[in-house]
Amino acid sequence: MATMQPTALLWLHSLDEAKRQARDLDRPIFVDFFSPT
Amino acid sequence: MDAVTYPDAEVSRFLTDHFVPVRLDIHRHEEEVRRHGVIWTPTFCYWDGEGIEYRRSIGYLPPAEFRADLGIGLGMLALARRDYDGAAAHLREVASRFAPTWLGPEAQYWLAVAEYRSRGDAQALLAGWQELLRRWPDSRWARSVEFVRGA
Repeated sequence: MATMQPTALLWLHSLDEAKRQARDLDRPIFVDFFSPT
Repeated sequence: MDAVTYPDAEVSRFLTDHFVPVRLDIHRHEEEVRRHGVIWTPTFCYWDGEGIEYRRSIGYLPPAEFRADLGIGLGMLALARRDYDGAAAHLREVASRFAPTWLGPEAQYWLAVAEYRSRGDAQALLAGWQELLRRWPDSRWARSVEFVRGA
């Protein structure tokens, strides 16, 4: 699996912003509901 | 996910190249948690640009399984957009490269659907599901197509 250079993941934290970017970029949204603890 | 799966180079690149990635801390987004029926973490959701959900996976996934899940997610989103050839490409890749994972047979199930929709040919569906029975006979997805055995 890990044979290429790592890419820094830039997460959004707002669904409204994600929907705006999804429309602009014509990409789907991946949401990770997580608990930091 | 933070320690192993997200730092994986292929995972991070695939997420970045194909999705708008969002992380919501359930303690800070209680309204979204209620609205979307999130009951455990991690919960991974695949949405179109309007926020309509086409797939959901719950629980930690190692890098290979997570990468396969992302591919199936893209395939199902493409199916929903009626981009059947695009869907087939994503699903075929998962069924091939990630065949040993438990997501291989699910990808094959949906690949047969995508090829059927693309060609309008019921034989494509039958052939794809028979391949599923042949390659993953003990999988949960084989049980869903048991009725095509010998057809």
